[in-house]
Amino acid sequence: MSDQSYRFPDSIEEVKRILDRHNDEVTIVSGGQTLLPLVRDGTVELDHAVDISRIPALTRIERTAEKTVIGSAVTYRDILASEKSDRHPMLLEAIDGIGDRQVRSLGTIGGALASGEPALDIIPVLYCLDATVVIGSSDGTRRVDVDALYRNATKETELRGPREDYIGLAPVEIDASEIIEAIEIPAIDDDGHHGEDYRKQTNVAGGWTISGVGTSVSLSATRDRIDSARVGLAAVGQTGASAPTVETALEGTPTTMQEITKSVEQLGADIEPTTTLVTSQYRLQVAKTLASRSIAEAVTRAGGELE
Amino acid sequence: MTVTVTFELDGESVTVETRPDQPLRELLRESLDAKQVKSGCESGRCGVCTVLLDDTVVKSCLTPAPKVDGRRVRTIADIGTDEDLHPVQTKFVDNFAAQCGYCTPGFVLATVDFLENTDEFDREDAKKAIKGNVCRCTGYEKILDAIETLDEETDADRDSPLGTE
Ligand SMILES: Cc1cc2nc3c(=O)[nH]c(=O)nc-3n(C[C@H](O)[C@H](O)[C@H](O)COP(=O)(O)OP(=O)(O)OC[C@H]3O[C@@H](n4cnc5c(N)ncnc54)[C@H](O)[C@@H]3O)c2cc1C
Ligand code: FES
Ligand code: FES
Repeated sequence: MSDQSYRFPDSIEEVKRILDRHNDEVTIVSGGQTLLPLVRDGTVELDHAVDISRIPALTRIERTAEKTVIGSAVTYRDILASEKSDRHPMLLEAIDGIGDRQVRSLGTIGGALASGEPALDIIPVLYCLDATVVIGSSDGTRRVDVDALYRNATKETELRGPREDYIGLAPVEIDASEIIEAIEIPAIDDDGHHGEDYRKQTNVAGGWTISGVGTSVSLSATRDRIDSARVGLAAVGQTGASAPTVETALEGTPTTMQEITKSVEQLGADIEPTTTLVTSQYRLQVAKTLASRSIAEAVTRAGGELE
Repeated sequence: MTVTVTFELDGESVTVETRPDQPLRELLRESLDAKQVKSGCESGRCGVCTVLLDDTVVKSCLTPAPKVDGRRVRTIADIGTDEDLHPVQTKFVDNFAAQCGYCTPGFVLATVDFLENTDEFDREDAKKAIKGNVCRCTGYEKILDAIETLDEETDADRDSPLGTE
């Protein structure tokens, strides 16, 4: 290889071939929105770039009866503009709040998942939507739940190193020989008993998330009980954090504000909030408040009457 | 310099040497003397380096320079001239939306992209549209006034906010 190179492979297969042979030298570039600040501050050396943003199979959104498949190099801007993502209002609402117009023009969903920053809004949203990440290499393709990418992380990414304005970068369980190909979001059985919500608090307008909470709930046929719930968290500590204790506490409870608040009180059992920017205690309190409001809104959207 | 790129800059084809780790902002300012592209935080937070990449607003400090190969880059210089201001620029002037003016190219380009892709909007939408741009002088209200009056403009103005070609 020469000293430096920048290529635009035509296909996923070509990327896999390059990664197979040169994965210790090359860096995948999607939108560059996470990479460039890291290149600038010297955390990452970008000598051999493999730019995946022009590969047709990675820049498509497909929608079938069972699922919506979003290519890993689809930009946030294109997701917002695509009618094919209409069936996931929570996804669109959360993306609308990501960064700014400029960042959404180039930033991609695959780039976000691969960088695994704990503050990313998209990760808890994809968890609530029960999304699957499709990862490929020259050895084949594997499918994992989005939270599993971070929970079982065994390998530290190149992108490690705390930066003042990021809440650290997490180890992601993707090998250097692998590429994220797509994100699959299952269609929700539209029995009209399902509701979702995502909300966050930032330190300043447009700044990084202090805490973000996503919720999806399914209500009973009579809509007065919560059958099941998912609660995903951003910026509380570990990437891909969720709230299993709160989820279990919510199951089978009546849709009252009192019950919701009571379940959310157990959030402290699920997370140990990071102390970046604010204290751990403050962050937990913000997360609890957001969680109560988010669950309440999801219940309302599912057609439940809050008492 | 190890990578050669060819792209359209403000209507003219240019071929220039760059590197995988060079931000577009640096290439434009230092190799192509496009000083109308301002330099600020260099980390994606202030928006002064904003340009249009194939009519889509991006921050040039967050864009790897080789990414623009074969594409079209437009800076504020291609949006309007002193003699022939773009409608967005005219509204910025009319509403006193610039003081020192350092941030103005970025705001104008973000607004152009926003109007091109929006039908109806209110002040809250305008606020979101300029979230990626920082102004240290105006306090934003005048800028929002300028953008809001663009919504009330005749459809003729709105038809092609991008079109001064
Ligand atoms: C100013 C600013 C504000 C922001 N605000 C927010 C916010 O409010 N909320 C939020 O959630 N996010 C925010 N972000 C983060 C933004 O969402 C991410 O930077 C962006 O989505 C990353 O995608 P990318 O395509 O630019 O990734 P890149 O920078 O191109 O890549 C990031 C990393 O992932 C690797 N990679 C990329 N694609 C793949 C792939 N398909 N397979 C394997 N590895 C891959 C790259 O090698 C690199 O290591 C902000 C970013 C900036 C700069
Ligand atoms: S210099 Fe690019 S955003 Fe500040
Ligand atoms: S007019 Fe001076 S920074 Fe905006």
